[in-house]
Amino acid sequence: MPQRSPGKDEPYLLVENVTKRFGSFHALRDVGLAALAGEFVCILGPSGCGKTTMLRVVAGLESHEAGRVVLAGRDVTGLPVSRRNVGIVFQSYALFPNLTASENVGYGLKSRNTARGARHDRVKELLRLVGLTGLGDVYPARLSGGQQQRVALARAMALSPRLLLLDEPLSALDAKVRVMLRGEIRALQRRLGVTTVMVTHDQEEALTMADRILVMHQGMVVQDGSPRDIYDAPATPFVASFIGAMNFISGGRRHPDGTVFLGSRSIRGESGPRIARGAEEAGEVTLAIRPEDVILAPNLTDGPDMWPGKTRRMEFRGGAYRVEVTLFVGGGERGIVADVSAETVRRLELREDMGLAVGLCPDRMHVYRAEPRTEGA
Amino acid sequence: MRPAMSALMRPFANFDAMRALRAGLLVLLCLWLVVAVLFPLATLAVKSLTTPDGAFAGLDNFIRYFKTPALSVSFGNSLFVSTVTTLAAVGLGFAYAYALTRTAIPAKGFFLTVAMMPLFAPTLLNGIVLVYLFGKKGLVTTGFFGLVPFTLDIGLYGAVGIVLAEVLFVFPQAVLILTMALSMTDARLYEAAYSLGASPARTFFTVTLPGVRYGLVSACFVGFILSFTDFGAPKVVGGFFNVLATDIYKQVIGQQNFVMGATVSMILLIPTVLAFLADRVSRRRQSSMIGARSVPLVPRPDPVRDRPFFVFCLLVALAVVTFFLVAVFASLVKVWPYDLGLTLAHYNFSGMGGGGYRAFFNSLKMSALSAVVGTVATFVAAYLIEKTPGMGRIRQAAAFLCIVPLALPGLVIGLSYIFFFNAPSFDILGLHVPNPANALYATMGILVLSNVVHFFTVGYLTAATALGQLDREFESVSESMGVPFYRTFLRVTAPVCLPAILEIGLYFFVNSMATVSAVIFLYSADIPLAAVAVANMDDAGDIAPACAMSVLIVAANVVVRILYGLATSRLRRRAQAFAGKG
Repeated sequence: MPQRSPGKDEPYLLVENVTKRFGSFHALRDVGLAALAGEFVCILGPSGCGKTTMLRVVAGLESHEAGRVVLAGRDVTGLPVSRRNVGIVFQSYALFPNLTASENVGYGLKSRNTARGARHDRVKELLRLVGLTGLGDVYPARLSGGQQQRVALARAMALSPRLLLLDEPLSALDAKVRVMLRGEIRALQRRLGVTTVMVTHDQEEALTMADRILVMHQGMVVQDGSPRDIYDAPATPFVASFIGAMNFISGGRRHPDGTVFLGSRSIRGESGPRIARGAEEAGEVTLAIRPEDVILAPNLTDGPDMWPGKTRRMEFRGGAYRVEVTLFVGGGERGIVADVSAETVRRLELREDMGLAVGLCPDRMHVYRAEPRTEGA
Repeated sequence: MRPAMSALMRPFANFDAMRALRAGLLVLLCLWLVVAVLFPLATLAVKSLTTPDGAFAGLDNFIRYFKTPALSVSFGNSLFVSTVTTLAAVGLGFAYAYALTRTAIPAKGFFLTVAMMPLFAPTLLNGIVLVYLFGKKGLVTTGFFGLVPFTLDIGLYGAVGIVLAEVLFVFPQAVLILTMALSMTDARLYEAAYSLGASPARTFFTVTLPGVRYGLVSACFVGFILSFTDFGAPKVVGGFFNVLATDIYKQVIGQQNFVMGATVSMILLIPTVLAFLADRVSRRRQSSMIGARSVPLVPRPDPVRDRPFFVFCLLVALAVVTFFLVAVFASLVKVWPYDLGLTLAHYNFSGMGGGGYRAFFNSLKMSALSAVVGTVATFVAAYLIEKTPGMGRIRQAAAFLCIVPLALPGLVIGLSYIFFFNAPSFDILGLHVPNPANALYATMGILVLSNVVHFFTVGYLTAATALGQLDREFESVSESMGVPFYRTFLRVTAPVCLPAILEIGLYFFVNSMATVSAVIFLYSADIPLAAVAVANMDDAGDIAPACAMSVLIVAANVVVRILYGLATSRLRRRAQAFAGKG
């Protein structure tokens, strides 16, 4: 079969309409994914959302009922993993305990009948690439978690795969090592230019590493976009609260003319609040705003976006505070939280149970269709 | 690929040779288990439902069995002795296992080793030694040959002798299961009980016992199965007290009544299968009780508790050691009890029935072959079942077939093998089908096969446990690199599991050396076996040579066990090199 190199804007990896069931459980419902050559895509979601299943379908480790997988212009649906030329790093690394780091890295090279000398050089080069020069003769159990993870990465890259798949590669590591390796993996991926799909449940990992994020929930892709898009314009309340923190303020109304009201006041502003899909029609809506977008001001400060409020508990977080605030809306109360700098707390002399004005900037607000169950961040 | 080819090959484009090979092997495994386990069993069942002429008899044989008091009394006898044995052995085993896991007594390793000693001996030896101790001219019965002023006759032959011999046989198994159950506990439960002010007795009844209840249940069922189906001990010390196992032997070998032999076998099989099913259920519950985050319990010294337990263990260990010393001593005595001079004459075996050293070396050869074939078969079976992706139904069926042999008493395997392999052909629905398996009859092959099947399940479970502890993604990693599964199996899976593989090999060897029940129906005059020779010499009244042959069997097993110990300690050192603890 002639191998067509895909055009510039044509996706290098294309997954379309994939559906997968385990018995009666719908693991994947009509999901899709597209990655340009050299792109780093993160599949993000809570445990059980189907993200690992999705990765295994891309890898060819899991069969699926419907849909197709196209890699480098070639339909690989139904091809076993051994014929897809993908490199995989598993959550557990799955390093062979009875083989040294070098032997692990060279494991796949051996079966490709690569010449001995070339194999040796390749392994050395790979170990250098992941910063493990000199540790080739060490058994995995003697390596630190971070080093093991690098061996796994080198092994996955050994056969110069078309696609690199990372299944929660950092979740078994200490927080500090994790942050360091994030940068390293990303730098290595950029240098090699290998198209990469990573699965993670850690939103910070996804936001810092990915070119593009796919948020999955209950076997479906709920949003697909750049980290900025996902954070600034979360498509659903689920995405909003899963990535970063979000305040949800219930009891809003959308009038037929499009104006959004909270209590008796309309929410306007320069560009107005962002209306999420599903909330276009008139009716009950839920307003949402990120804690860092909530502005705290001295009591009785006047302004179109200012609301009366009262502080409740204040949580010290080092450089900042998270302040629980009760908002007085119409005749009712709404609990929200605000992230404010230590400097603001000092300036306003914030204490618990203190009356103040709360600024909710309409341009930073999101409007979702009201659902039976809404909760604060 | 050229376009012309690609159109032709399209149906095979997604064909994965490696997956197909694995699937094929799995199917082959199922077929083999069906032929080696289910077919013979079916032949046996059919036999029990026919008349000696081969006509269909329905349940007539069973009705005749229960209407003949001389026969049916054995059923009650068997139930009685195995129940008493189970209670005694599990009681003793529990106290012993408790001492080994929950007290701070010294010499635990020694005590555990001694407790395992009876596993190396054929149960015939248990009976023989009891004869030397409590028989008509026994050491105790005659008051140490008149050296002490009192004598004691316990009325050995019959229920008493069988129970004593079986307790010794079941004890190590009970200790094994119960130490396992008792060592799987969470220390924090005890800390919680202590901090809440519970007394030691209350803690025992509310924490310890509930924690091991499934282990206890399992030990009871295993003990019951072992003593219910054992043939060796009742053969030697049963006297006129008939049990099912000896009945089968008498019907088949003594009276050549194969139909009644098959019928009694089925009667033996039913309680065994029930006990087996109950055991499976309780084991499943036990394994789901331990959380992954349990903190192991390390017993602290407590003289008030430890001293009685130490004395108890010492007494039990002393009894076991004495038992084997008596065996060695009796095999060396010239004419028990009249001439206590020592001689090696009983180790000559010339002029004895049973085959002498030829039998011994045959047994060594058979056990070595069984160990190799059995280990490969169980490990590969467990590998295919544990590590093949997909194929859920076939894997489940294979896993079930691998468990079945545990429910089959050796006598049942032996007898069903006679029926199955001896038949030159089968008439199935009027069709005359020649039996290819007939070629194995009366060969070393059938002996090895019967051992492999007889001890299959324990080996399989050991392998499955070891494989289950490996990273689930080894196979995926190799596959993603295009490395064929058998290369990873040979280069990674098998080497990492080597300790388990050796353990399985040891298990097959030791049991094949000691077993009589299956092979007593299957050996031929050309291939005598040591354990069968023990039975035959004992039958002929040549007890001292029988004892000597048993001692040789034990010695061979001890030697192999020592070799195993040396090999595993080397392995452990190498594994420590991997793990960096060296």
